[in-house]
Order: sequence, then structure tokens, then C-alpha cells
Amino acid sequence: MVPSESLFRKNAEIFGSGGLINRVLGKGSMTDVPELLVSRSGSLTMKVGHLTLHSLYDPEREGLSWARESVFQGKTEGSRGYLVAGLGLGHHVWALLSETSLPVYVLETDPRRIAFSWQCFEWHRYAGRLRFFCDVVDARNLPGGLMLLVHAPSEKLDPDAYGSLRVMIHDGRTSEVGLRFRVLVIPPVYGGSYPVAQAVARSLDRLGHRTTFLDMAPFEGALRAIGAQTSLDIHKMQLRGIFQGFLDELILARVIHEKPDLVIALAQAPVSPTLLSRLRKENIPVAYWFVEDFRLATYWESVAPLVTEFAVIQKEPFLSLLSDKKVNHATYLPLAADPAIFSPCSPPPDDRKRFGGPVTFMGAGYANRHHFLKNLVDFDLSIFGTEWNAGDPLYRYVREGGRRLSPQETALVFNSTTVNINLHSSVYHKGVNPDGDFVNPRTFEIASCGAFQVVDHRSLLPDLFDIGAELPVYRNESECRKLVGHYLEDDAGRAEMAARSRERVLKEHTYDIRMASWLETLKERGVRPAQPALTGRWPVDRLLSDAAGDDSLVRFLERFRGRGSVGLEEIARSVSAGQGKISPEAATFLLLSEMGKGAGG
Amino acid sequence: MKTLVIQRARFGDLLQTIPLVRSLETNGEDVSLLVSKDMMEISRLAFPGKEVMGFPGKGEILERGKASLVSPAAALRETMKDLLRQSFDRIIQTNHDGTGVLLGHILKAPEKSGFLSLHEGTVEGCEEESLSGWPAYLVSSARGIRAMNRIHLSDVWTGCGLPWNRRPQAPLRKSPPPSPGAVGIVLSGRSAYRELAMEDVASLAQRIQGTTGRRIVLLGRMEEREKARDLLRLVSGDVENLVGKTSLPELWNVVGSTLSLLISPDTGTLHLAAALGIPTLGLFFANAQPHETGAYASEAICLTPDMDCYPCVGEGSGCVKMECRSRMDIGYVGDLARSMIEGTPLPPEQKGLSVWKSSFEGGILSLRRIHPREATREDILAVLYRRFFLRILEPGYPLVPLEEEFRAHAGRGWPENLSGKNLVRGTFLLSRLLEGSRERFRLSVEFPFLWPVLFHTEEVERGRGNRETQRRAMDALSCEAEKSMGLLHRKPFWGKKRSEVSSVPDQGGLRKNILAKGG
Repeated sequence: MVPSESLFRKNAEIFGSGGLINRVLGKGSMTDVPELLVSRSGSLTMKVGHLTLHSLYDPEREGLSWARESVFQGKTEGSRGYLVAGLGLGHHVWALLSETSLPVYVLETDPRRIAFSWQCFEWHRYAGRLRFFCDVVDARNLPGGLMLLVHAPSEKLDPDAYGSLRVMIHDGRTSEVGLRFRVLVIPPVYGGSYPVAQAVARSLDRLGHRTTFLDMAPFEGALRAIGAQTSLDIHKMQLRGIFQGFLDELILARVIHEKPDLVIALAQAPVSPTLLSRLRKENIPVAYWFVEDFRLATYWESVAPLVTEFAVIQKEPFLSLLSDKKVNHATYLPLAADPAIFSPCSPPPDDRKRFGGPVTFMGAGYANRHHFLKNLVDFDLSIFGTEWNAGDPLYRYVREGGRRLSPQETALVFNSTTVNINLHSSVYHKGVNPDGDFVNPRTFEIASCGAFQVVDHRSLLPDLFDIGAELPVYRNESECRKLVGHYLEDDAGRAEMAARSRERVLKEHTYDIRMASWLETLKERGVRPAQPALTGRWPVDRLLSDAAGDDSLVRFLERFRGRGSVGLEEIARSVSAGQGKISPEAATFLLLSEMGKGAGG
Repeated sequence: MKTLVIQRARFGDLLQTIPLVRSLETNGEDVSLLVSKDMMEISRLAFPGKEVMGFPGKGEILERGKASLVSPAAALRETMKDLLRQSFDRIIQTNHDGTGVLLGHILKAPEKSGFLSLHEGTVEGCEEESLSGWPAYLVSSARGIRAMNRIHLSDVWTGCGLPWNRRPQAPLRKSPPPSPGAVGIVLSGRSAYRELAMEDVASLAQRIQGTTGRRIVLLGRMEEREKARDLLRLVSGDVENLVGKTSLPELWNVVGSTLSLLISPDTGTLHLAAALGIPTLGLFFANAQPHETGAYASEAICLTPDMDCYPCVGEGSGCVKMECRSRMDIGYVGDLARSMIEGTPLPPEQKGLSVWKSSFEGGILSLRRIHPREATREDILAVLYRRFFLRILEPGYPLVPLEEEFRAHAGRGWPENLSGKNLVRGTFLLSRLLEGSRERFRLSVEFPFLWPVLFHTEEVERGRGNRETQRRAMDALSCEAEKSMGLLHRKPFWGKKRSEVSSVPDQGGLRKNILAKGG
């Protein structure tokens, strides 16, 4: 561990938004200046005045022990994340992040300590679920269900601030209700982001949000048929425009019916600027996940300004271009995997034979893949996916007739293959795109399956995976061949790397993590459910405390003690209207839950 | 018998529940009401002497819930404690929503009716069961082809409580309205699609003042105060602006004590006037249908536009022209109002508008056209279906003769867009396909006009209705379809004299002829 300016910059880029970077870089007080020391174990530790914030002997071990105990406690109480008060240098928080996949919020009232910490730890690796802040009042905007973990040495340095934080949390001034949204997910009619939209909807559902997936797939036939009616582009455009008008009305009808708190649209979703303007007029927040290459799909210029939140899978220069167009609500949100679908399995022999092989490629037949894969056919190559040119000699390696595989079948391919080739698509290159930046979903999906892959270089990949340790990367055909040849023989090496990459995905790159993080961003932008009290989750202790003095209500709520937090639906499920006598309390919560289901206020 | 009527909807719906409560009272039932808390004050006026309990509305729950979930829970719990302490012999649940269904389940009573399940969706803790009877009709008429619904909401709710022969056969007498009273004009209902254009209101006010000398009282919601101030610049004379200035009880007093006539779109105030026995002139356009929600009173006059797109779906229609509203010729409306005030014959027909007058038949409201004209496709089907549904919902109900129903249309022609042969054939085949919903629904492909009937019996009731009663009603529907052809055609039907046509027996004569030809 050596303090590094480049590491500081990387962390600052990700965590310094909202004015925090100014605090961190600002001139601090001349008192209580933090000091870095080398501990007996060789890693750095921190001291302020006479007080050591971490062990002088083995701060990493101390941090790990603290983290394990905290996570155990958190699991017992059903926490949905952690609020750590006190960063110090950060050993305990670093350990905590490796012990849990839940979000972690860190309050450190002395920005100088944050500055030191950002020089020493690769916090950027946890970009999806870690946040720093300096002011106690900011705790007010945190989501509910968090477990408060106080770093005792830090508290001694600023007891007033920590006291205020405790009071704020205990007297309910924090927004403790775990907000639950009513979400309408709009996928494209067909295409690559359709399965992403499905994964998003599943994830939101798992996170407890009331999610409706507006399946546009039934309109695929109609949309394709339009293109077949005429060869004149202008007519095609006209027809598609009329059809889009119909889809606009259909979506609007659904929005009026569902009254969602939030609409999430994926790239290529049939949401025209007209529709987006209407939704904006109705004050319906729209979050758009643009999972495309901005250089090729340029419609972002008309969509981004009209939505509440615009998530992208690329960074610069895209983010600057968006900023130039006054789109200040853009967030970098890389793709992910759904471990519910992409998980390790041992396919039966028939499936292994049908879907697997020593070396496999899964994906659409883009031009660069046609060129590139020809150099790998001697590895007993198998190809799965659509749009492979049947006239091309490579087609003999295409299996399953070149049909589209379901996500479940795709997972079988990954699990049945010794070495999965992952090559990002390009329409301009003959193989690897040397300037490629974003990371495709396949990278995460193969890893999530615990399967082995070799992947082409992408500039954003090192932020997401440890290159060499978690993923082997190639830059050209020759390097790819070397890696494939090596790992075909190295069973142990393959297994270790695959296991590490899977662990990384589970900790940082699932759709649940992405959606939780994105919703936090949306909450920070002020997006709220219409009726948070009825749809959210309430800390049970808080409910019992509020009900104190009302014996029958307390008696009723006691049954939920130990659950951490509880929502109205959960309470309603625990009682029954039944045939026999029902208590007023049970009737009350059944009715509140039913009222919470109704849309709107 | 102690009966609880649950009616948690808003002002207009509450007033349209008055007939149900009065019918129950007439039958000697001791009625209590559970209404929305913000409707308690007006409920005590609408239902004097009745026990009225308040159920917290969602707004109150959400407001209390901002600080803590315990606060709304405690408030609601007190209501539930009071309710659960009481014992009712009967509960009538009038609201088609999850909260209402759940209340209907939670509260115990030996007899329950109304909405005890949802047409779509389930309620946690309640059994899923399809609707039937009058609650099913309310759903099928609302979701079906509304242009063909000719049964009033008040009658549907009353039907949930009592059969026709236990209802009062005539409306209760009320005190005559004040005379000479003012003429009230209501600016709009809750929706922009039930709003009169301000220029039209101004013209109407001037015209009525000019022709009758009566004072004009403008009424409307708080949100319309600014509009009313603008409107006042367009009118002169004795005009009192009470827009947004009255509480509900004050509005009750104004309408009941000072008005001789109320002119209004479909609004709660219209229903208030009807309940207080004040003559009404209802202006129905966009998605408002007087047969469903017109003034529930005798001799109420309503206007509707003669347009293919009427009634529409209102907000969801995306219509920006609102030509239906423009059809409400203000000069004509003024003339109608004058006739109603002076008790003189109503003016002749105005092109593009239909004038309807209400009456009670066997205790159920009916609206008939005043001016003779050729029947539209909707007129014919609506009359036939009304009779069909009353036969299955109220077996034994004394329907007026078909000739009476079609008096305004007799001999004036048959609409070109309705095949009489198909009508007879389709209804006959329907009456023969008793079992087998698939076969029945296939009929709606060949005979699309049968869809409202099939939607009710197969989709909403899901076959729960009494099949024998339905079969007999379908038989009658088939006969009446044939008979209506004879009544409406300009020329004698099939070469026979009108007197021969009107008495064609079941299974015989012309129908056999049509069916044999496969027409």
C-alpha cells in the first residue's frame, strides 16, 4: 500500500461529485492533522494527535475482524446496507466491502482523512455500491434499512457530530422508510437490449419494487413487416412513424393505467421524443439506460435531454458531449449479469454435447467476428448466435442452425464450454477494436456462470475486473490464440480465474447492484414514490417506538420484531381476513396494504 | 334489519346512492352508512337521521403516513374498532375497488351483497370469485359499449340491495321548487371533458336572463374561481357568482332553497338538484352518458350530441376538438330552459342534438327521446339490450310494451348500418347456444353486436348467471329483434301490413322465414 496520486484521481472521479471533491481538496483546519504511519505488519495506519485510528500492529486484521462482526450483526437484523460513521484511513471499510455485497455509505467529517484514504485504497472498484459524504445532515437523504456502524476511534475525535448522527437516526429524522417504487419497464421491441430489460425488471422485482414489464415483443412481427412493404426509405420512415405514434399511445395508455412512480426505458425502446415530452409534462420520471455505443447509435441526442436520468455504458468523451448538450443527469452504469440465470451448473451429457465444446463463441455475426474467428477454427470452434453469413465458410461451425438462443440456453453454452471466446462487436474493424471502451453483457454473464473466457481489450474493463487475475485479455488474434492454447491445457488455471471473476461479479456486477445504485442516484435527484409510507419498508423498532403507549398496536407489531424492517404487504400476508373474528389491528393493516396497492395518491 | 351501506366514493356517487337507501328504508330496514370521512357532513344532509360513519380517505392516510406508519394505522384502527363492535344483519358494498371488497369481507354479517370481489385482480385475504348480477352489470356496462347502456347507476346500486318489486314504484314526492327561483348554471365537473366553454356559459346566462328575467347563479369548484371572475366580465345583469364560494352544505342550501332550475354538465351538483327535487337540464357530452348518470328524477331533461364518437372515453381519447361540446347550441339550451321554467311545450328538435326526458317505469329510471326521429343502430340495440338485461337481472320486472319503447322511432326507418336479418339471426342463434361459451363467443365474430351480451354472461359473470333465465331472455331478445324491424321500417315489412307484423308469434312466420333463408 503506497499513497498514489493517480489512485486519488481515480477515486475522486467516481466519488467526488456533488461538491465532495472541493471539500476533500480544500485547505483544512491546522488542528488534528492526520498522520500516516507504517504498522508492524507493513501496511499504513493513521494517527491523529495521540489517538491511533487503526491498529499499529496489524490494521488489516483488525479491520477484517470488525467487518465480520458487523456483517454478522447486519444479517441478524436484516439490514439492507451499512452506514459507517468514521473512515480513518479505511481498513475496516475495505474489509467490510469484501465481506458484504450490500451498499455501504461512509460518513467522515474530516475531509483530510478522506483525501488520505483515497490515495491508499482502490475504492473505485466498489463504484456501484459505495458512497462517501462529509456532513451529518446528508445522512437524512440515505435510504432506509441501513445499519449504523460507528468507528469508535473516529467518534472520539468528533463526539458532537457522531452524537447528532445518532440522534438524527433515532428520532426518525432520517428517511428511514425503505422506498419502494412502482416501476414500468419498457424494453425494445426486439434486439440486444431486450434481455437486458428483462433482467432489469427481474432485478427490480427482487429488490421489492412493484414492477411491470411492458412486453413489446408482440409487435416485432408488425415492425418487421413494415420494412418489407416497400423498398423506398421515405415510405418506410413514414410507416414506421405512424406505427411509432400508435406505440406511443399504447405506452401512454399503460402509463395512465399503471400510474408508475418511475418509467425505465432501455435502449431502442419505442419511446419517441413526443412521448417523452408528454411524460415529462405529466411529471412522470423516466430513467433511460442507453446500453449502446454513442458513436453508432446517435439518437441519444434527442432522447437524453427529455429524460430525468440518462445512464450510459461509456465514459469520456460521451459524458462531456452530454454535458455540452446540457444533459447534467447522466450516470455511468456498466452492464451486469443476472446470477439467477447465469450461474454455474453441470449440464447433462446431452446438453454438453449440444451446447458446448472446447472453444465456443456466442454472439451475433458482426463483420469483425467473421474475420477474427476464422483464425481459431483449428481449435475445434463452435459458434452460436444469429446473423452469421450462411455463404461464408465459417458457417459450418455455426450450431443450432444459427437461431437465437434463450438466456437459459446461453448459460448452458457458457457452462458447457472449456474456453469461451468473448469478442466485442465492431462494424469497422477486422478483429479487436483497439479503441473499444464499454464492456458487453457477455463478459459479466460468462463470469457469473463461473465459466472461463478470454476477452478482447476494452478500456473500461480494468475498472471492472482485475486483468490477468480475474480475466485474461487479448489485443489481437495472435494473443488470443496463445491464451486459448494455454488455457485449454491449464485446467487449474482456468478454474481459479473463473472462480475469481465470478466472485467479482457477485460482489459488484449483478443487476441487483446496478439497479440499487441507480435508484439511489434517482432518489438523490428527488425521484420518490407517490406514497412512500404505504409502499415502503419501515424499521420495526421505529414502528414499536412510535406505537408506544398503544398496547394493542404494540402487541400486534411485536410479532415482527427481529425482522429489521417490514412492509405493509408483509404485514398483511401475516394476517388473514378469514372466517373468524379479526382484530381491529389486523383489519387495519390489511386495509392499509390494500390502499397501498392502489395507484397514485 | 340493520343494514350497512358502504359508499366511499365522492359527492356525485354518494347522492346517487340516495335511491338505494330510500328503497331500503321503505322496506323497513334500519340503514347505517360508511362513507368517506370528507363526505360525512354532506351525508348527514343526504341521509337525515341515519347513522353515518367515516372511513379515512387515501389523502388522509398518506398525509398522516409522512411522519410514521403508526399514525394512519391508529386512525384507521379506531374506525375499524367502531365498525367491528357493531353487528349488522346485512352489508351492501357499492364500491368496485380492493378496499371496498376487503371491507365487505372483514365486516361480518349473515347477508352481504354488492362488490364482494373484483372483476380483475385479487384482494389479499379474500376469495376470488367472479361477479354476478347487478355488480357484474356495472362492470360490463362500464367496460363494454357504453353507448348501449340504458340503466342508471342509481338503479344498479338499488338492484344490489333490493329486487324491483320491493322498491318504491314512484319517486318520493318532494316539496315544489321555489318560485320564482333563480336559474343555476354549473361551470364544469371534475374533468376538462365535462366543462362548458366560458363564452357559452356567458351567452347562456344572458339569454336566460333576457328571456325569463330570472337571476342567474353561477356554481362551480374552487379551482374555477378565476374562470368565473373572467366570465363575469362577459355578462351583465343579475348574476350571482358562487363559484368556489360554497361548502357542500351551503351548496345544498343554495340549490334546494333558491333555484327553480339547474343547468349543468354531468356534475355532483346535478345529482344534488335531482335529489332535492329541483328541475334539471343536463348537458351530456364527451364521456358523460345521461342514461348512466343523468339526474335521477322524473321529467329531467338531458341533451346529448348526435355524433358517432359519442360517448367517448374522455381523458384517454386524446380528443382536442371537443366538437361534441360545441354541438350544445346555447340558443337552443336557452330555449329549453325557458320552456322548462315557464311550463310551456319544449322547442322543436334541433339538428345534431337529442333531447331526452326521464320517467320511472316499475321503479326504474328510463330516458326516452322527446322528438320523433329515425332510430340509430345504438338506439335499437340499447333498447333491446336494456330489456334483455332487466329480464336477467330482475326476473319478472314489468317491461313496457316494445311499441312504447320505440314510440319516437315507429315507422321512421331502419338504420342502414344495422342488418335486421343479422340481428334476428344472431339473437336467435344466441338463444339456442345455451352451453359452451366458446361457441357463444364465436357468434360475436359473425355478429359483433352480440358482444355486450356475451361479455356480460361469459367474461364478467364467467357463466355464474342463471342459464335458464338467460335462455328465456335471449329468446325474448330474438323475438323483439324481429318485432322491432316491423315497428321501425317505413314501409310495411316483408309486404305485410303493420298490424300483421306487430303480432308475429314466437318461432313462427317471418323469423322462420329469415332463418330458413339463412339470412
